[in-house]
Amino acid sequence: MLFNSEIFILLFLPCSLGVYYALSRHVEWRLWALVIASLIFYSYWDIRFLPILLGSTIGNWLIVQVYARLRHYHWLPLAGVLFNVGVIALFKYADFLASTAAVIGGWGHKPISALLPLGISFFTFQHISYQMDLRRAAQRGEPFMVHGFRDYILFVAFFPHLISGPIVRHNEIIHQFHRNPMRPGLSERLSRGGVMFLAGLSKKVLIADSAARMATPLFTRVLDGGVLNLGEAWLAMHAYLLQLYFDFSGYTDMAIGMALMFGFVIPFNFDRPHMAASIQDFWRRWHITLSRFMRDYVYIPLGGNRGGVLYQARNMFLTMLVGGLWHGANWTYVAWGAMHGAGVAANILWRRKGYAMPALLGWACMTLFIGLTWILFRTESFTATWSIYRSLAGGNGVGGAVIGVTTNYLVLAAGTLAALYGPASQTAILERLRPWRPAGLLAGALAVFLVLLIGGGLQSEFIYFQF
Amino acid sequence: MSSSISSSDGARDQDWRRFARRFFGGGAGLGIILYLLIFIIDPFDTLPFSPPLDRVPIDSNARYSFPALARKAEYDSAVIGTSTGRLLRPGRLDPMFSARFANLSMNSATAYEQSRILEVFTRHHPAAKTVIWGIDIVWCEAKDTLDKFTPRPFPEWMYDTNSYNDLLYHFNLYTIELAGRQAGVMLGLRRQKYGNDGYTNFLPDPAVYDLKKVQASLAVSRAKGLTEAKVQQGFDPATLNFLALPLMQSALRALPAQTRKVLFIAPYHYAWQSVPGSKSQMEWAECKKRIGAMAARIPNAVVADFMIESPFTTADTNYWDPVHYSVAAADKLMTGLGRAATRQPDENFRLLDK
Repeated sequence: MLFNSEIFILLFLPCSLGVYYALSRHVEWRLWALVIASLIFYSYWDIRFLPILLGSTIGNWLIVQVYARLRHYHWLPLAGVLFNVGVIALFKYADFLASTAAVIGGWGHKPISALLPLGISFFTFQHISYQMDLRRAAQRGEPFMVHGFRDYILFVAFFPHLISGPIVRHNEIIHQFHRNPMRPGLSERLSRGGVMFLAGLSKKVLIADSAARMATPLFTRVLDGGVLNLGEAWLAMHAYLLQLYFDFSGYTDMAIGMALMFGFVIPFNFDRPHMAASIQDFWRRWHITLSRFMRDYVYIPLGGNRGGVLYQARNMFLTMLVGGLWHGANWTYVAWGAMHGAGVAANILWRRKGYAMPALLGWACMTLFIGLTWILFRTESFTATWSIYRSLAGGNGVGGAVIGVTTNYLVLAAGTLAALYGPASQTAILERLRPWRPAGLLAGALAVFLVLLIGGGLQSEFIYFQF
Repeated sequence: MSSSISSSDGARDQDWRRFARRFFGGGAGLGIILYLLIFIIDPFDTLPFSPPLDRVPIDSNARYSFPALARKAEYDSAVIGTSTGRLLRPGRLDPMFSARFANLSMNSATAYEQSRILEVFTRHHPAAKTVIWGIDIVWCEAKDTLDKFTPRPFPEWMYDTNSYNDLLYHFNLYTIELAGRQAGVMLGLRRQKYGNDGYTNFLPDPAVYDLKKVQASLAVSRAKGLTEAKVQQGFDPATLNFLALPLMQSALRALPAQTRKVLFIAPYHYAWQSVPGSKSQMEWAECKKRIGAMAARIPNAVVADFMIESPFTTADTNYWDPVHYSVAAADKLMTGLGRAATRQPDENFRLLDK
């Protein structure tokens, strides 16, 4: 069930909210209702996903229960992490690992077609973060936060963030489950949450999907063996950059908005990333909860910035490499991670050397770097990526691109302006929005328009669902 | 990160309540009003319990307009096919067959789409009198895969047995646009473009007919035909796989035994027909043979092959292009179909189901 589908917006979400608020006086019932709604949401994609989500959740919860009784066995959470890595390796990386081994070993490889449960990369990271947080807390002698099964499964499976994040930590959300949803501020939470959802839906339907209509045919042509001219290559890069940003940040806005409608605040994931003036700055603003996870559970355990600038650069490079692999079981993602790792490492060394760069030049370099690396991310092919790089440099002929209908120009202009100058959704909606009554009516009308718009065609999946 | 949002300065809870009422209440109200309008107008005439208004086929994509037509009790006979069957006029067929025809032929309809519309017609007409089925290339392509659809949308939900699920597919901009057009026709503000019985003359104004242009196009067709691949020695036509034909067989078998089934191979201009000795001609010959054999096993079925060299297919003036014949030629074709139905010989066709 996609967030941008009529069945979700007109049936699933209102019913879930209705039941949740109808049971608001009974904490047990309302939270179980939310668990059941989340499991229905997940099973709707494919019922076979459900045992994997449940198995992984029960496995993690049991490990934690044992650890709570045997607190000096600090290897238990590490076993939990291994369990999670094993689950994700089995379902996501088995074929990648087997094919790589076959290439190295020189034997034949028959593709393994394992079921890839949606959101596995996201909920596995939530399990890992919980196991590691408990271990750190236990080692420091801090209070041990062991949660009941209902709270734990809701933390993992809460449908707004289940498929594509944001990656939430247990101590950010579980305590909120017990707050009375009818507490003062209900109308404000529902309104801001609803407008946030609407903002995300607009980003997805009006900008990302329109940008995709420009980018997809161009990338498809290259993947089918064709070439792009100079103008087409630049259009493809620019349109995909907009598509990815508005697709993923749109999804995140919808998730944050829905969570708020249930009365929960979950972390933000984007903070105007295309205004960043360096690659390091970009990663502080793009997919923030992933960057935070990589920092806390990969970069710092590797040594972080201890041991000098070269070690820091190395650790950052390795962290980005893991981040690349997290995105997909393909060497192109590893290479994409390596490019970003090298970029961030170079950024660190540059700053340590005390070199300066004008902000505008820094922004231009960052934007070009991001655009170029997204091409590899999009094509998942070294050959196609190289072909587009050649085209960008004019090596496949100079010429213009056909942008097409007027709305495409509007999308390019509006998307670019919004990415460069627009406020972050959370700032605009969760802080600045005022209860101006005509705006309520306008938002209602926009909601109807968007639902009518998505009702007419095939809804497109969010890009980050594949990860 | 804080687990609460900061209430905006000076904004009272009451202000947010009003905002929420306008947002959710206004949105829901507008949505309900729009849906009610769509429901009342029911542009495709398929919704259960919609008011019995005088609706017309409104969508230029017949895949949306014809399911309602195929259900109508006022018709007891149907024409199925592609654009090569669209000019068969019920007004002329009705007296010939003592029936009331709806023409359910759809532009570029695939074999699957044709069998689906016939399925709907059969379900709602257990005592159907006559079905005329125009057969063209979509039935005789020897391929490994069957193309179920064209780029035109095909609403499966209109073709199933559950009319209630149609209620789920109407809340969109496309349906609103068509509801507007349907309302325009109902109120007399808009001209009806498509006939109530499905018949629409889709050809240009006869005043712009240009025989020289047609003949030039036919000459190109003939030249292309001459370059067709020749049949290989040892080629066994029995190995050809016509994936669409089982669909036709099951659709015909689903019709009552007493229903008269008149199948005709479309009269492509002779210049467009396969050149003897070519692979394509071999495929057509085999396909026709199998259709004839199939029809011979179906009660009350006849197959007339108009795709032959005949006075009809060699007269350039009968055509607008190599595939589409004129309105006057359609009259000749319908006369031929009448003769075929009673198995009378005719120079423009040969019967295949002997």
